[in-house]
Amino acid sequence: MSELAAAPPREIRQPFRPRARLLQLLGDELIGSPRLAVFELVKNAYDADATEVTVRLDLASQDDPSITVTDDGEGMTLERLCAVWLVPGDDHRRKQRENSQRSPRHHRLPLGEKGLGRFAVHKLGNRISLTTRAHDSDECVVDINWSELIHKPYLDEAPVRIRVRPAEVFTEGKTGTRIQVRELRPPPWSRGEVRRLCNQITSICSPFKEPAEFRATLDVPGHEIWIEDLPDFEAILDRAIWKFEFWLEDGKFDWTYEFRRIPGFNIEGRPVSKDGDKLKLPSSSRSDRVNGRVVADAATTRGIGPVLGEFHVYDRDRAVLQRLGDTRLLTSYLDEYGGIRVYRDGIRVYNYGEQGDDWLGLDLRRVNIPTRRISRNIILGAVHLSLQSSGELVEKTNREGFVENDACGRLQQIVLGALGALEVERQFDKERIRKLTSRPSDPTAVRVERPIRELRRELDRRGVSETFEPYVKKIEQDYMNMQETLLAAGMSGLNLAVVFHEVERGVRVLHRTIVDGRDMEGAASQAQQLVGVLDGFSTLLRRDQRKRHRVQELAARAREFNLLRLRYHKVHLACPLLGGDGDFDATFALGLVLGALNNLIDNALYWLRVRWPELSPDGETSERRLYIGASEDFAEGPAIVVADNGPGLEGDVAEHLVRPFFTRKPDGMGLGLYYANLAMELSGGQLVFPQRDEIDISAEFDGAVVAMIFKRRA
Amino acid sequence: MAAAAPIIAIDDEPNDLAGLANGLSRYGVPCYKIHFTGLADVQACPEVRVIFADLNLGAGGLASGDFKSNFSSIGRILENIQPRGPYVVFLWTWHAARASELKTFLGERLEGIAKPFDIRSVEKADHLDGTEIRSEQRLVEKIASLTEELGEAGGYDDNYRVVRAALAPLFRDLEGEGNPAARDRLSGGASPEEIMLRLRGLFSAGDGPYEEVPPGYPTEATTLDEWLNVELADTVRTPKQMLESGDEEDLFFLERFVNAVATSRVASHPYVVRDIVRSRIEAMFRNGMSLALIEGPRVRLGGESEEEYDRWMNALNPMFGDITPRQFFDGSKVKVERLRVLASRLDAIDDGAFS
Repeated sequence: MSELAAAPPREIRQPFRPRARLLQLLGDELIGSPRLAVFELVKNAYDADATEVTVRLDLASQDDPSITVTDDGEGMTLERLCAVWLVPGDDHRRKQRENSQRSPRHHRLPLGEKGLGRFAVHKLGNRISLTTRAHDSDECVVDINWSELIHKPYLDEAPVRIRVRPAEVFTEGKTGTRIQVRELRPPPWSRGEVRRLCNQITSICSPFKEPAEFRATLDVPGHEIWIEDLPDFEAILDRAIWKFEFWLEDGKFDWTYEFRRIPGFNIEGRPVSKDGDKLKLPSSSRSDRVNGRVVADAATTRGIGPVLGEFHVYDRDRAVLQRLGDTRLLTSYLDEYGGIRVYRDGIRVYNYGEQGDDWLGLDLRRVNIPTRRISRNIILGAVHLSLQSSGELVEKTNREGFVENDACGRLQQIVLGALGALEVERQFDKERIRKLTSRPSDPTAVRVERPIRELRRELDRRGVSETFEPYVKKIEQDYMNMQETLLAAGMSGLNLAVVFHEVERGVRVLHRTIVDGRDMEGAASQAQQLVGVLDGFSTLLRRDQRKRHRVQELAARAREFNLLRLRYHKVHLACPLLGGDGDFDATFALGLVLGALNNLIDNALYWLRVRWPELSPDGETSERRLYIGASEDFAEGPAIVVADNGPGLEGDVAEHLVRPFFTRKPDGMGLGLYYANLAMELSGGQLVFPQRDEIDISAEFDGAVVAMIFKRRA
Repeated sequence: MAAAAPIIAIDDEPNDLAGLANGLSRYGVPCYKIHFTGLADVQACPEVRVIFADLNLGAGGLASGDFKSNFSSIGRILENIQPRGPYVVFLWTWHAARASELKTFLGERLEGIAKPFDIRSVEKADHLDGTEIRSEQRLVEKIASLTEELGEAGGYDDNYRVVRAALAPLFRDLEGEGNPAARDRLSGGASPEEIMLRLRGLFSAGDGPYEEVPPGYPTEATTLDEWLNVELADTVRTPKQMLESGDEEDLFFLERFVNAVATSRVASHPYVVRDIVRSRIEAMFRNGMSLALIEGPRVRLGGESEEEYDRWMNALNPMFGDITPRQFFDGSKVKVERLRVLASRLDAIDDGAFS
């Protein structure tokens, strides 16, 4: 028996007693930087229905510099101050938003939802003085000394003094809130920091599309010169060579594209626009395509609402920049502010588009195809969302974008898909510029040795050689093998220089990422992607011997390779060749030509899904049809014809289609048809894109038609 | 003979393929090599437990950029291999990050066969220096650690058990249980000529009553033990014919048995019984029989303690009838007569005696 007498059961009630330092934690831990803290205060002004908010950074007094944020919003009554402002985590804003309760003056939905943003003020300084006045009320003043407050053991032992007085600040019937912060914390507000703050404050509202009646400005008395020469955003936008705007709603994709004439270049501008297009979605690591679809539909924007976007894209090629003047201003602006921002109801969602944030992975995807892909340092873009309809996009408390949920993944896909549409059009104009500015390139003159050497030196310097060297070695070996093999085969006329140049540029992009040193994980992915580009050519390099083969065998192998995909996507394959119908023999390297045929099938599988996104209601059948058959319709020789009932070749001519890195697929590398063309040429044949009436084929295959023509037997 | 292979490796790069397979073989794990050209179907290997596969198997490669055609190739290869039991795919690749995508792809699209219970990656970048393996030790350690990861992820379930069983020699060696002499006699990565020499050496190295071969055994070998003889009796060709055929599959088959014989002769013999039991348990599992039928030898595939091991070695159990596993041994060597008993018991199990 225990010596302790059994205590009678009892029950006590004890509320949580937060330490006073909890408020400090909220400010310090949740908000990443003093600049973001200012942003939080400006957002509060927006929610207070203000028209104007002024941030005054008074650094003139060396002893006691201060930051003052003043708005002309609705202000707070004493009751509101006590019931809301002094209650961490108060949810009245969130409720207003959920109930679609708009502000009386500007009809805004509140941006705040967690009731924590104001505690960021602690990040700025030690002493806070809040003055606020609501309509028909006295002025209230709250003074907070954070050091004193957080040294109290518990929050309930740290009362805040509120003074209520006749109006002194907001006189003559004015309303609003003023927060003055003194005893500022580091960092010291240097010229650079102030310029960045200025840009941050002015970018709070969309410079692309300002919300009605809301302006934020920064004053730095005594240091006006620090910010007066900041580049004018409008002027920067005017210097973009490409402009792209889009609107996506319920799967309907409207867009306009404009290539602007470059001064001094004899190239006409080119506007293109399309209403009711299909937005092609790239795959995403965060969110797979909705229902495996490759084009957007109403489900894609569920919880996101309609998406409006605009991209201003620049060209940093020296030949183009020279003609635009003041190159340094433009390039340094793009280096610092390039990227794609997100705005909801016209107010910026941080930290999308900030330096160091690559939420769309633009830089990574560029390494594959540097010429075609748009990187962050050549774009100023904005995506506009409606607060009311984007309920599934929830901002993280630390202001580092949206919570990474399915809707966030879909938003990424949408923006990348729209960017892909821009890139498709842009490649035509890039090609026109290239023809004017570059000299004809000899593939033997393209050398990767130097970029590789520089890359290795940098890797050594940073002590990461061991991680990267296998990739560098593989890239180097594959590149050299490819150059040697293809040049030896007399393939110099097939845009080889473009491919070699692209790999060389890819190595340089990787080099820059390593030099930058901020994202070594991204650099490793870039190295892997570059290996991937060269991998695509691996079969070219070890092609088997050319000998006579039955094309029936070729078709059977290709079907085998693609069977899982044909089956899964419910594609009806009509392949008379498999039964020997029209079979012929020809001399070719089987592995090489099989690769070509596989690429044609791969293309067809994608485009069939673009035109026919839906399966039958039971998911068992589809309208997707693919034909692989023999043809004697060509004078040059017997052919294998691959046809489908997809959307067709969209008017693209053969010259474009077989050019390396040309593609209309958002994830495509643009090497499939280039490879197929190369493989046919290496086999003595050719790849052609006949009109449907040139060949004898059933009318049901009304999409793309591609023919692999083999050399006729002598 | 590929049908019997528990471990296969597929690659379109012959050097990468040889580097991996040789590394495994030198650690006692024979690996059936498939140099994939895309020009013929891969044949069925229903007994396979571990498949090493390159992701980019050529034929158009990555030109499409989204890897789907590569995934499709691998999927079709698996359908042709027709694995009958649980198996794992280890990608042997430059694109390790694609493993989870491949798993999703195969999960949705494979038909008519079991899906790999997991897919993990062995990065070529970590192990290849040009066309050479940098360190075989490091490579097999990676494979062993991936296997252990599978165990952790699946709660050391039966999937893990069969994979670990297939890779058992590798673990033995890594755990310092293997005998270096055994490894020296393995024929991994050897040329046909070397395999022939080693086989001849093995067949002629008789050492006592345990390795009597029945008269009439049609090879030049005179000392191959009976157990091996029984196994080979199922084959159409004699070892000598296999040896001289130069056929890759025949040589692979022989190589496996060379390894088995080398291990059984030189390494410590308790493992022979354990391996036999293990392979039989695996067969039972594959055939849908309950493992609960075997009461005694709850073999934990090398993971048991000395005490546990001794306990079941000295205990009677339905599988071995009236002798304990210990009684199969004479010192460190296996008694052939006892192996016959074991074989008959195992046959009885196959015939459903315990079901």
